[in-house]
Amino acid sequence: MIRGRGLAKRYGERLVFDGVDVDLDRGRLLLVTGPNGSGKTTLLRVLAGLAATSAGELELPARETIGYLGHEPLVYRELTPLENLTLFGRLYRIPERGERIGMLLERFGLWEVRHERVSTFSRGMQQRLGLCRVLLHDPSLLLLDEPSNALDADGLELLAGVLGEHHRAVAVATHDPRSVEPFATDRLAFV
Amino acid sequence: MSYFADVGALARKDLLLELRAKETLPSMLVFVIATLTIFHFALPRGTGHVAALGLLWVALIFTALLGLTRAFVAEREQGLFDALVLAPCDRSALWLGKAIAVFAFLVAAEVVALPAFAIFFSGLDGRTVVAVALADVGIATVGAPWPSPAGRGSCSCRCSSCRSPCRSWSAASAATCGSSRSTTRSSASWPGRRSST
Repeated sequence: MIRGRGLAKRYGERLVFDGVDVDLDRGRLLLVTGPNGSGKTTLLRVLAGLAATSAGELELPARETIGYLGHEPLVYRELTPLENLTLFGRLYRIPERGERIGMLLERFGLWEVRHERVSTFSRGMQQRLGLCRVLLHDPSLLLLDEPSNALDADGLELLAGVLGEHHRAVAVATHDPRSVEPFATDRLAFV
Repeated sequence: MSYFADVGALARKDLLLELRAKETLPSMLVFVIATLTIFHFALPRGTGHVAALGLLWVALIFTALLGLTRAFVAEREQGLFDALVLAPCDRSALWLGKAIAVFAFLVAAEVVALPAFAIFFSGLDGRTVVAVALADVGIATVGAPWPSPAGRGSCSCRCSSCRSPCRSWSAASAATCGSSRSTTRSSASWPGRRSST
Protein backbone atom coordinates (compact mmCIF):
# COMPACT_ATOMS: atom_id res chain seq x y z
CA MET A 1 0.00 0.00 0.00
CA ILE A 2 2.85 2.39 0.87
CA ARG A 3 6.42 1.94 -0.29
CA GLY A 4 8.96 4.55 0.70
CA ARG A 5 12.72 4.39 0.23
CA GLY A 6 15.26 6.86 1.55
CA LEU A 7 12.63 9.46 2.42
CA ALA A 8 13.92 12.82 3.58
CA LYS A 9 12.23 16.06 4.47
CA ARG A 10 13.93 19.40 4.84
CA TYR A 11 12.48 22.80 5.76
CA GLY A 12 15.07 25.24 4.49
CA GLU A 13 18.29 24.44 6.29
CA ARG A 14 16.58 22.24 8.87
CA LEU A 15 16.61 18.51 8.19
CA VAL A 16 13.51 16.96 9.76
CA PHE A 17 14.27 13.35 8.86
CA ASP A 18 16.50 11.52 6.46
CA GLY A 19 16.89 7.99 5.06
CA VAL A 20 13.50 6.72 6.24
CA ASP A 21 12.19 3.49 4.67
CA VAL A 22 8.50 2.69 5.03
CA ASP A 23 6.56 -0.42 3.99
CA LEU A 24 2.94 -0.63 4.97
CA ASP A 25 0.34 -3.15 3.84
CA ARG A 26 -3.19 -4.08 4.81
CA GLY A 27 -3.40 -5.68 8.22
CA ARG A 28 -0.22 -3.93 9.43
CA LEU A 29 0.03 -1.11 11.94
CA LEU A 30 3.07 1.13 11.88
CA LEU A 31 3.72 2.88 15.18
CA VAL A 32 5.77 6.06 14.78
CA THR A 33 7.15 7.33 18.06
CA GLY A 34 9.44 10.12 19.14
CA PRO A 35 9.54 13.32 21.18
CA ASN A 36 7.80 16.54 20.16
CA GLY A 37 9.31 18.09 17.05
CA SER A 38 11.08 14.92 15.95
CA GLY A 39 9.24 14.70 12.61
CA LYS A 40 6.34 12.30 13.31
CA THR A 41 3.66 14.65 12.04
CA THR A 42 5.74 15.60 9.02
CA LEU A 43 6.19 11.94 8.10
CA LEU A 44 2.45 11.33 8.34
CA ARG A 45 1.74 14.37 6.17
CA VAL A 46 4.22 13.04 3.62
CA LEU A 47 2.51 9.62 3.69
CA ALA A 48 -0.87 11.32 3.19
CA GLY A 49 0.45 13.22 0.17
CA LEU A 50 -0.09 16.53 1.95
CA ALA A 51 3.60 17.41 1.92
CA ALA A 52 6.29 16.63 -0.62
CA THR A 53 9.45 14.76 0.24
CA SER A 54 12.80 16.47 -0.23
CA ALA A 55 14.41 13.19 -1.32
CA GLY A 56 13.58 9.53 -1.75
CA GLU A 57 11.02 7.47 -3.61
CA LEU A 58 7.46 7.09 -2.41
CA GLU A 59 4.51 5.11 -3.73
CA LEU A 60 1.13 6.12 -2.32
CA PRO A 61 -2.41 4.86 -2.91
CA ALA A 62 -5.14 7.04 -4.41
CA ARG A 63 -6.10 9.92 -2.13
CA GLU A 64 -9.72 8.75 -1.76
CA THR A 65 -8.47 5.60 -0.03
CA ILE A 66 -6.65 7.61 2.65
CA GLY A 67 -8.15 8.63 5.97
CA TYR A 68 -6.04 11.30 7.68
CA LEU A 69 -6.54 12.62 11.19
CA GLY A 70 -4.17 15.44 12.07
CA HIS A 71 -3.49 17.20 15.36
CA GLU A 72 -6.88 18.89 14.92
CA PRO A 73 -10.04 16.86 14.27
CA LEU A 74 -10.41 18.67 10.92
CA VAL A 75 -14.10 19.45 11.21
CA TYR A 76 -15.97 22.77 10.96
CA ARG A 77 -16.66 24.04 14.46
CA GLU A 78 -19.71 26.09 13.50
CA LEU A 79 -21.40 23.12 11.87
CA THR A 80 -23.07 20.19 13.63
CA PRO A 81 -21.62 16.64 13.49
CA LEU A 82 -24.38 15.69 11.06
CA GLU A 83 -23.63 18.65 8.78
CA ASN A 84 -19.89 17.98 8.89
CA LEU A 85 -20.23 14.30 8.05
CA THR A 86 -22.87 14.98 5.39
CA LEU A 87 -20.50 17.45 3.70
CA PHE A 88 -17.56 15.04 3.71
CA GLY A 89 -19.82 12.15 2.76
CA ARG A 90 -20.98 14.15 -0.23
CA LEU A 91 -17.37 15.01 -1.24
CA TYR A 92 -16.30 11.36 -0.85
CA ARG A 93 -19.33 10.17 -2.88
CA ILE A 94 -20.41 7.72 -0.19
CA PRO A 95 -23.49 5.74 -1.22
CA GLU A 96 -26.24 5.58 1.40
CA ARG A 97 -24.27 8.04 3.49
CA GLY A 98 -27.19 8.72 5.83
CA GLU A 99 -26.99 5.18 7.16
CA ARG A 100 -23.21 5.21 7.33
CA ILE A 101 -23.18 8.54 9.19
CA GLY A 102 -25.84 7.36 11.61
CA MET A 103 -23.91 4.16 12.31
CA LEU A 104 -20.66 6.04 13.00
CA LEU A 105 -22.32 8.64 15.22
CA GLU A 106 -23.93 5.83 17.20
CA ARG A 107 -20.67 3.95 17.49
CA PHE A 108 -18.74 6.97 18.75
CA GLY A 109 -21.47 8.14 21.13
CA LEU A 110 -22.35 11.31 19.24
CA TRP A 111 -25.84 10.46 18.01
CA GLU A 112 -27.57 12.38 20.78
CA VAL A 113 -25.62 15.55 20.01
CA ARG A 114 -25.75 15.26 16.21
CA HIS A 115 -27.64 18.57 15.88
CA GLU A 116 -25.42 20.58 18.22
CA ARG A 117 -22.56 22.75 17.02
CA VAL A 118 -19.09 21.27 17.29
CA SER A 119 -17.86 24.49 18.94
CA THR A 120 -19.86 23.50 22.04
CA PHE A 121 -18.12 20.11 22.27
CA SER A 122 -15.28 19.15 24.57
CA ARG A 123 -11.93 18.39 22.92
CA GLY A 124 -12.52 14.67 23.45
CA MET A 125 -15.89 14.79 21.67
CA GLN A 126 -14.31 16.71 18.81
CA GLN A 127 -11.65 14.00 18.57
CA ARG A 128 -14.37 11.36 18.39
CA LEU A 129 -16.00 13.29 15.57
CA GLY A 130 -12.60 13.51 13.85
CA LEU A 131 -12.41 9.71 14.01
CA CYS A 132 -15.92 9.48 12.54
CA ARG A 133 -14.79 11.72 9.68
CA VAL A 134 -11.73 9.63 8.80
CA LEU A 135 -13.70 6.39 8.95
CA LEU A 136 -16.64 7.74 6.94
CA HIS A 137 -15.38 6.48 3.56
CA ASP A 138 -13.95 3.27 5.05
CA PRO A 139 -10.38 4.07 3.99
CA SER A 140 -7.92 1.29 3.31
CA LEU A 141 -5.07 3.45 4.65
CA LEU A 142 -5.54 5.19 7.98
CA LEU A 143 -3.05 7.83 9.11
CA LEU A 144 -3.59 9.01 12.68
CA ASP A 145 -1.57 11.74 14.34
CA GLU A 146 -1.82 11.54 18.15
CA PRO A 147 -5.28 9.90 17.94
CA SER A 148 -5.57 9.34 21.69
CA ASN A 149 -5.37 13.10 22.35
CA ALA A 150 -8.06 14.19 24.81
CA LEU A 151 -9.90 10.86 24.64
CA ASP A 152 -11.36 9.49 27.87
CA ALA A 153 -11.40 5.79 28.81
CA ASP A 154 -14.46 5.10 26.62
CA GLY A 155 -12.89 7.02 23.77
CA LEU A 156 -9.66 5.04 24.07
CA GLU A 157 -11.68 1.85 23.94
CA LEU A 158 -13.38 3.03 20.74
CA LEU A 159 -9.98 3.91 19.29
CA ALA A 160 -8.71 0.44 20.21
CA GLY A 161 -11.66 -1.00 18.31
CA VAL A 162 -10.63 0.93 15.21
CA LEU A 163 -6.97 -0.07 15.52
CA GLY A 164 -7.98 -3.70 15.97
CA GLU A 165 -9.68 -3.87 12.57
CA HIS A 166 -7.40 -5.78 10.23
CA HIS A 167 -8.77 -4.86 6.81
CA ARG A 168 -6.73 -1.70 6.46
CA ALA A 169 -3.19 -0.41 6.80
CA VAL A 170 -2.67 1.97 9.70
CA ALA A 171 0.11 4.36 10.66
CA VAL A 172 -0.10 6.04 14.06
CA ALA A 173 2.21 8.81 15.23
CA THR A 174 2.31 9.41 18.95
CA HIS A 175 4.66 10.44 21.73
CA ASP A 176 2.66 8.27 24.13
CA PRO A 177 2.44 4.79 22.55
CA ARG A 178 0.81 2.95 25.47
CA SER A 179 -2.68 2.71 23.95
CA VAL A 180 -1.39 1.81 20.47
CA GLU A 181 1.51 -0.51 21.34
CA PRO A 182 -0.60 -3.71 21.64
CA PHE A 183 -1.73 -3.36 18.01
CA ALA A 184 1.62 -2.39 16.46
CA THR A 185 3.18 -4.74 13.94
CA ASP A 186 5.95 -2.38 12.84
CA ARG A 187 7.76 0.40 14.66
CA LEU A 188 9.62 3.51 13.64
CA ALA A 189 11.28 5.59 16.33
CA PHE A 190 12.48 9.17 15.80
CA VAL A 191 15.03 10.53 18.20
CA MET B 1 -23.91 16.56 -12.05
CA SER B 2 -21.96 15.47 -9.00
CA TYR B 3 -19.44 18.26 -9.68
CA PHE B 4 -22.13 20.91 -9.29
CA ALA B 5 -23.57 19.06 -6.30
CA ASP B 6 -20.10 19.31 -4.70
CA VAL B 7 -19.92 23.00 -5.53
CA GLY B 8 -23.39 23.53 -4.08
CA ALA B 9 -22.53 21.65 -0.90
CA LEU B 10 -19.31 23.66 -0.42
CA ALA B 11 -20.98 27.02 -1.09
CA ARG B 12 -23.87 26.11 1.21
CA LYS B 13 -21.35 25.21 3.90
CA ASP B 14 -19.69 28.64 3.63
CA LEU B 15 -23.01 30.48 3.75
CA LEU B 16 -24.08 28.41 6.75
CA LEU B 17 -20.79 29.15 8.53
CA GLU B 18 -21.29 32.87 7.95
CA LEU B 19 -24.91 32.72 9.03
CA ARG B 20 -23.80 31.21 12.35
CA ALA B 21 -20.45 32.85 13.02
CA LYS B 22 -21.36 36.27 11.55
CA GLU B 23 -17.71 37.18 11.15
CA THR B 24 -17.41 38.45 7.58
CA LEU B 25 -20.57 40.20 6.41
CA PRO B 26 -21.15 42.47 9.44
CA SER B 27 -17.60 43.81 9.22
CA MET B 28 -17.98 44.35 5.46
CA LEU B 29 -21.23 46.26 5.99
CA VAL B 30 -19.85 48.42 8.79
CA PHE B 31 -16.75 49.19 6.76
CA VAL B 32 -18.52 50.18 3.54
CA ILE B 33 -21.12 52.35 5.28
CA ALA B 34 -18.48 54.04 7.45
CA THR B 35 -16.32 54.74 4.40
CA LEU B 36 -19.17 56.21 2.37
CA THR B 37 -20.27 58.32 5.33
CA ILE B 38 -16.77 59.72 5.76
CA PHE B 39 -16.48 60.45 2.05
CA HIS B 40 -19.87 62.17 2.14
CA PHE B 41 -18.73 64.64 4.78
CA ALA B 42 -15.13 64.93 3.61
CA LEU B 43 -15.86 65.85 0.00
CA PRO B 44 -16.44 69.53 -0.68
CA ARG B 45 -19.74 70.62 -2.20
CA GLY B 46 -19.81 70.59 -5.95
CA THR B 47 -17.49 67.62 -6.23
CA GLY B 48 -18.15 65.89 -9.52
CA HIS B 49 -20.01 62.64 -9.92
CA VAL B 50 -16.94 61.03 -11.46
CA ALA B 51 -14.92 61.69 -8.30
CA ALA B 52 -17.74 60.30 -6.19
CA LEU B 53 -17.83 57.17 -8.33
CA GLY B 54 -14.10 56.79 -7.89
CA LEU B 55 -14.59 56.87 -4.14
CA LEU B 56 -17.38 54.31 -4.43
CA TRP B 57 -14.92 51.98 -6.12
CA VAL B 58 -12.36 52.61 -3.38
CA ALA B 59 -14.95 51.70 -0.74
CA LEU B 60 -16.06 48.61 -2.65
CA ILE B 61 -12.57 47.28 -3.33
CA PHE B 62 -11.54 47.56 0.33
CA THR B 63 -14.81 45.94 1.38
CA ALA B 64 -14.13 43.11 -1.08
CA LEU B 65 -10.62 42.80 0.31
CA LEU B 66 -12.08 42.39 3.78
CA GLY B 67 -14.33 39.59 2.53
CA LEU B 68 -11.60 37.86 0.56
CA THR B 69 -9.10 37.81 3.39
CA ARG B 70 -11.68 36.10 5.61
CA ALA B 71 -12.81 33.63 2.94
CA PHE B 72 -10.52 30.81 4.05
CA VAL B 73 -10.25 31.61 7.77
CA ALA B 74 -12.10 28.47 8.91
CA GLU B 75 -10.01 26.23 6.66
CA ARG B 76 -6.74 27.92 7.61
CA GLU B 77 -7.25 28.15 11.36
CA GLN B 78 -8.67 24.65 11.77
CA GLY B 79 -6.37 22.96 9.25
CA LEU B 80 -9.33 21.89 7.13
CA PHE B 81 -7.44 22.21 3.86
CA ASP B 82 -5.90 18.83 4.68
CA ALA B 83 -9.31 17.19 4.93
CA LEU B 84 -10.71 18.94 1.86
CA VAL B 85 -7.85 18.28 -0.56
CA LEU B 86 -7.82 14.58 0.32
CA ALA B 87 -11.45 14.27 -0.78
CA PRO B 88 -11.79 12.82 -4.28
CA CYS B 89 -13.84 15.75 -5.59
CA ASP B 90 -12.36 17.99 -8.26
CA ARG B 91 -10.25 20.68 -6.60
CA SER B 92 -11.78 23.35 -8.79
CA ALA B 93 -15.05 22.61 -6.95
CA LEU B 94 -13.40 23.88 -3.75
CA TRP B 95 -12.53 27.12 -5.53
CA LEU B 96 -15.90 27.53 -7.24
CA GLY B 97 -17.82 26.89 -4.02
CA LYS B 98 -15.74 29.52 -2.25
CA ALA B 99 -16.13 31.96 -5.17
CA ILE B 100 -19.93 31.63 -5.02
CA ALA B 101 -19.90 32.32 -1.27
CA VAL B 102 -17.64 35.36 -1.71
CA PHE B 103 -19.90 36.63 -4.51
CA ALA B 104 -22.93 36.29 -2.22
CA PHE B 105 -21.17 38.28 0.52
CA LEU B 106 -20.21 41.02 -1.93
CA VAL B 107 -23.75 41.28 -3.30
CA ALA B 108 -25.15 41.43 0.23
CA ALA B 109 -22.74 44.24 1.12
CA GLU B 110 -23.60 46.16 -2.05
CA VAL B 111 -27.35 45.84 -1.54
CA VAL B 112 -26.69 48.22 1.36
CA ALA B 113 -23.75 50.15 -0.08
CA LEU B 114 -25.24 51.20 -3.42
CA PRO B 115 -28.43 52.75 -2.02
CA ALA B 116 -26.28 54.49 0.59
CA PHE B 117 -24.10 55.88 -2.19
CA ALA B 118 -27.20 57.06 -4.07
CA ILE B 119 -28.43 58.90 -0.98
CA PHE B 120 -25.07 60.43 0.00
CA PHE B 121 -23.99 61.41 -3.49
CA SER B 122 -25.71 62.06 -6.80
CA GLY B 123 -27.68 58.91 -7.46
CA LEU B 124 -26.87 55.78 -9.41
CA ASP B 125 -27.37 54.72 -12.97
CA GLY B 126 -27.98 51.21 -14.24
CA ARG B 127 -24.57 51.13 -15.89
CA THR B 128 -22.83 51.51 -12.54
CA VAL B 129 -24.91 48.73 -10.99
CA VAL B 130 -24.05 46.41 -13.88
CA ALA B 131 -20.36 47.36 -13.67
CA VAL B 132 -20.34 46.64 -9.92
CA ALA B 133 -22.03 43.27 -10.49
CA LEU B 134 -19.45 42.35 -13.14
CA ALA B 135 -16.63 43.47 -10.85
CA ASP B 136 -18.10 41.21 -8.14
CA VAL B 137 -17.92 38.24 -10.49
CA GLY B 138 -14.28 39.10 -11.27
CA ILE B 139 -13.32 39.65 -7.65
CA ALA B 140 -14.98 36.45 -6.46
CA THR B 141 -13.56 34.23 -9.17
CA VAL B 142 -10.04 35.64 -9.25
CA GLY B 143 -9.82 36.47 -5.56
CA ALA B 144 -10.97 33.12 -4.17
CA PRO B 145 -7.59 31.37 -4.42
CA TRP B 146 -7.08 27.93 -5.83
CA PRO B 147 -6.41 25.69 -2.86
CA SER B 148 -3.12 23.84 -2.87
CA PRO B 149 -2.32 20.66 -0.90
CA ALA B 150 -0.21 22.60 1.53
CA GLY B 151 -2.87 25.28 1.84
CA ARG B 152 -0.49 27.90 0.55
CA GLY B 153 -1.07 30.62 -1.98
CA SER B 154 1.13 31.97 -4.69
CA CYS B 155 2.54 34.99 -2.83
CA SER B 156 6.17 34.53 -1.91
CA CYS B 157 5.66 36.02 1.54
CA ARG B 158 5.67 33.25 4.17
CA CYS B 159 3.48 35.06 6.69
CA SER B 160 -0.05 33.68 6.37
CA SER B 161 -1.63 36.83 7.75
CA CYS B 162 -0.26 38.95 4.94
CA ARG B 163 -0.10 36.32 2.22
CA SER B 164 -3.84 36.26 1.73
CA PRO B 165 -4.30 40.07 1.62
CA CYS B 166 -1.41 40.35 -0.89
CA ARG B 167 -3.07 37.89 -3.21
CA SER B 168 -6.56 39.25 -2.66
CA TRP B 169 -5.44 42.83 -3.18
CA SER B 170 -3.91 42.03 -6.56
CA ALA B 171 -6.96 40.06 -7.63
CA ALA B 172 -9.51 42.63 -6.48
CA SER B 173 -7.58 45.49 -8.09
CA ALA B 174 -7.28 43.69 -11.39
CA ALA B 175 -10.94 42.69 -11.38
CA THR B 176 -12.23 46.21 -10.71
CA CYS B 177 -10.00 48.20 -13.09
CA GLY B 178 -12.18 47.70 -16.15
CA SER B 179 -15.46 48.17 -14.31
CA SER B 180 -14.41 51.35 -12.57
CA ARG B 181 -13.09 52.80 -15.80
CA SER B 182 -16.36 52.07 -17.61
CA THR B 183 -18.46 53.84 -14.96
CA THR B 184 -16.28 56.95 -14.71
CA ARG B 185 -16.12 57.33 -18.49
CA SER B 186 -19.86 57.06 -18.92
CA SER B 187 -20.54 59.42 -16.04
CA ALA B 188 -18.14 62.20 -16.92
CA SER B 189 -21.02 64.56 -17.69
CA TRP B 190 -23.04 63.94 -14.53
CA PRO B 191 -23.90 66.85 -12.24
CA GLY B 192 -22.03 67.41 -9.02
CA ARG B 193 -22.59 65.92 -5.60
CA ARG B 194 -25.72 66.74 -3.68
CA SER B 195 -25.33 69.43 -1.09
CA SER B 196 -25.32 68.19 2.44
CA THR B 197 -27.30 70.15 4.94
